[in-house]
Amino acid sequence: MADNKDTVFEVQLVAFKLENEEFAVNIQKVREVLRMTQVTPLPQSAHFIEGIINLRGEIIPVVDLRRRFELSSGERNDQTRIIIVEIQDSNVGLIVDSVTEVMRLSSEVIQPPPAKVAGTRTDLIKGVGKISDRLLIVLELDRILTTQEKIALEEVTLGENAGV
Amino acid sequence: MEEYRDLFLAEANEYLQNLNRCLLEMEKEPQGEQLTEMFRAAHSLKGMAGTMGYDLISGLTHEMESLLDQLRSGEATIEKEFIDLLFDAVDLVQLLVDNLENQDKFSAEVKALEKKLQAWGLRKELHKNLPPLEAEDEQEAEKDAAGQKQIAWEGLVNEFEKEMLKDAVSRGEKIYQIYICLRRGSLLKSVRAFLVLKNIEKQGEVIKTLPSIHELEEEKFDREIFLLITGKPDVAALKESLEKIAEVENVGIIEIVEQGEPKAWEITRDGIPGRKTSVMHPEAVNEQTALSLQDGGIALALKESDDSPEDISQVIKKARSLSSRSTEKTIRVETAKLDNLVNLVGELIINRTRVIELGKKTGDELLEGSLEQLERITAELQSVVMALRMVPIKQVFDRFPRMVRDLSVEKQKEIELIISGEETELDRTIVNQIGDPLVHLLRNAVDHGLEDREERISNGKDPVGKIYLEARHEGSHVVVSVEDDGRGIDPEAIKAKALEKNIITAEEMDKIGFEESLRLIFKNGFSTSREVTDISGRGVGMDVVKTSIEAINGTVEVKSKPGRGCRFMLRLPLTLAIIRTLMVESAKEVYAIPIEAVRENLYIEPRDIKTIQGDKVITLREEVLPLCCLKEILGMGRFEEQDIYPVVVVQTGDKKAGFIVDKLLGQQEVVIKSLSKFVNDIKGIAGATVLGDGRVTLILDVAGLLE
Amino acid sequence: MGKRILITDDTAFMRMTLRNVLEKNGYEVVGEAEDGLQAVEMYSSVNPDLVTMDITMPKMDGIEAIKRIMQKDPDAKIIVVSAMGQKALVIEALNSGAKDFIVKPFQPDRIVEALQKVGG
Repeated sequence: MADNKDTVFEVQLVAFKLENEEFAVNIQKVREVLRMTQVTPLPQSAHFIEGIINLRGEIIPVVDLRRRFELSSGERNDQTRIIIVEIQDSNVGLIVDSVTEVMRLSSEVIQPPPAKVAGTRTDLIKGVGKISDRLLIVLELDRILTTQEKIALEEVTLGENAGV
Repeated sequence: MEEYRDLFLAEANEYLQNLNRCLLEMEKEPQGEQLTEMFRAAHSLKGMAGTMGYDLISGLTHEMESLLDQLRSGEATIEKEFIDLLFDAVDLVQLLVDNLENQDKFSAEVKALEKKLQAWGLRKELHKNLPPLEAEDEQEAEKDAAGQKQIAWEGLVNEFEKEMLKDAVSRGEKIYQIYICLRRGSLLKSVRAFLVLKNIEKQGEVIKTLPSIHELEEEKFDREIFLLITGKPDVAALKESLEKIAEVENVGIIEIVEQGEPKAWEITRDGIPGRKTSVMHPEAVNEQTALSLQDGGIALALKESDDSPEDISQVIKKARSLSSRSTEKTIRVETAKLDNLVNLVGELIINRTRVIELGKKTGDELLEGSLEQLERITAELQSVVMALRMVPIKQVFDRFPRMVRDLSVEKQKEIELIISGEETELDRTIVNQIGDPLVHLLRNAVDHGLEDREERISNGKDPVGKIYLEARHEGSHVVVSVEDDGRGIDPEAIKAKALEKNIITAEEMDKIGFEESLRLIFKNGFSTSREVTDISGRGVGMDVVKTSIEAINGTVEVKSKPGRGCRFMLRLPLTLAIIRTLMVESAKEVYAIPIEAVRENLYIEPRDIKTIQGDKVITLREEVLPLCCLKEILGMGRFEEQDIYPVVVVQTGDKKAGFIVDKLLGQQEVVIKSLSKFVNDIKGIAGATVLGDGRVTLILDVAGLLE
Repeated sequence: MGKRILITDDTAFMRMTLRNVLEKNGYEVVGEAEDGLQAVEMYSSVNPDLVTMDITMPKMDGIEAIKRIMQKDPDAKIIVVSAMGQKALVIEALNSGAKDFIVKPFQPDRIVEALQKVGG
């Protein structure tokens, strides 16, 4: 039902904070929320990969979302959470400053991303939700683990195909 | 649907292999059973594909099924063109199965082949002077049947169940068949089935279920359950209560009239009495297949029949032998469940080790005694679980007769493939990964190894070339060999080729011995074939075979006798899931190094370290070894001056080196877990494992690190 | 008039998700219990039409809670919300008096269907 693009529908989001910005991901993609735990560093991996954790026997990569958005690195405290999300059928952890709430938004209030949102990378953003004076940045999860080089490559091939 | 796709793929490939095998057999010596088996395989494929919505596959297999059904009920002679046509059809289905994502691009081919199959069928029909079967109607009838579909129970109930039915009838109770269909994608189906039974049992007694209670518990069913019950239920209320259960999509209740009305017991689909009766088979309910018994109408088992008793027992025996297949010795388990079990046992083993260590510290004798017991039991559990992962290598070997047949036609060489040891068991992950290397070796044997007929005759050899494919145990390894009696490998030709490809220099060429020259074929960029042929020249060479075998901790060897043949031996480990590792600490993290790659551990002092052109080396028993600091090659830190350095000497292939680490922690068995697909291509990391305290540790890939 | 529902789950996230789905489909959530003990207490005070029950919870697990609620009210309509792989526990819960079950992670339409079927 949420797939119907022509009508207005309601999306449920899990909202969280990074630095002073509010972000959100679709609740359908959220598996669970964990407290910060010990993360095993992964050598030779992308800079935004914090490492891997063990979730009931499954090895899951964990992304430091601050580093992903090229924000200053913040300190970890008892508010820090790892949101386990499903990306392309695999679980991935996202480290966030805190999880704030679960909310419902009408698809109408989510606008396509402006060219630049608070210095963050727009290709990782699906849209921006406005609720009175609050700005909520909705993440495009499929891109979270794609490195820039891969994106660049994809764009090249896409461009070529489009040209034919 | 996703979760069913893997199961579909696994089963579809199994059926395709059966079809191929039957066709090969039929080519040699046609027998009726082959047609029946092929008919069943085609029918099962049709049902599965239909369930998954793969219309092209179900359409094509439907035509195959109709044609096979028609043939096996007649006495047609099997022509070669017919076998070839079916081979084409099997290949096309295989192609569709291999390309599930974009089947549509084959739709033209499918339509064309369907026409051919139909034309063939029509020809046969005309020949037999019988009207063609209304295949379409049959399919429609199957769909409409849903809740009304009735099982021929009388062939399936055993003596005891028959007694129960008789008793119930004598008490004035009635017999009903209940049909339940669950929603697609229903989870915890076994519990759902339990809930259904629980509800029914309030109103009647369940005599028999299809699939069996056991199969329901094991979730060995798709969505449909048939139950035979007795009692005096309020049918409308019972139906409503069953419909009230979540995820139940369809409920059908039919009263079974136990006497005088044979129609209630059987469905004669084609309406020709006595010609063919379709009977649902327990296995068939699972796979939505129908199986036909040729015996005509089956006598009523409950009724005291006038028929000769022998006939009935014959029929029941037949039905029983069919139904007993459902309680066969093997069960199909999702590999994910198996992996999970292996993982859990692996973690149990790790925790056991920890508990035993802690126990020893207490010095409590009673505790130590029971811990020893625990150790024995878990060790046994581990070996049992590991055995569960083992599958016969037959799964891979089975596709080769067909492949070699096609190659022999294409290359116009007469070839006999002799397979032995196909029952040898290996870890299924290994079995899955040796297919391609073996294909390559076999193709090589056909293409380069075996001479053509004339050459063989002029050399005084049997004109039929032979390829031996063999698997056998050798200690904790399995050896798979591919041997041909062809021309063998010419070492001089290899050396010349290697020189041409700049793999060796002219000076080296003179020094290289026979054995060593053979190994040149495994070098990167080497291919002995002068021209790229369709068969083995696909831009990959023996180096790929070697790399893929080494990736599963195996080795490849080659032996050759010029003029007599050559032999490739793959030595493979029995299992991959649990390995022994040496645990080391580096930059405050623990890493596990597979023990296979570890030669020795030692402690060295700063004065042992020499430098050659800026690189650190040590001399160990007159051998100069490159020395590297583990945290530096992992990019996790810088080399620090110390008084003493622990060093792990590692080796893969002919590469050897010393790794400086911070601490040596000792050996441990670990369960290999793959890294997430998002981070699995990191060079030098083979996987991860979870330690007893829940911490995640990386397992190093020494070959990757040494590159 | 929507049916009145008591949600029992130890994770706030799951309670939130369930509440969202249920309210959107016209149910009235009359209480959220964080463990079995709370559920038993709240059952008496709010007297709901339907109860959703998690199995593994602190203090008192779902099975014990089902038994106690059924003791108080043999007509109670309880639906178990279970995780995958809790087969034995779900069966025990059903034997203890639960009417039906749904499996996490769930699709909203399946929960609603289950509740409609049980709640009538």
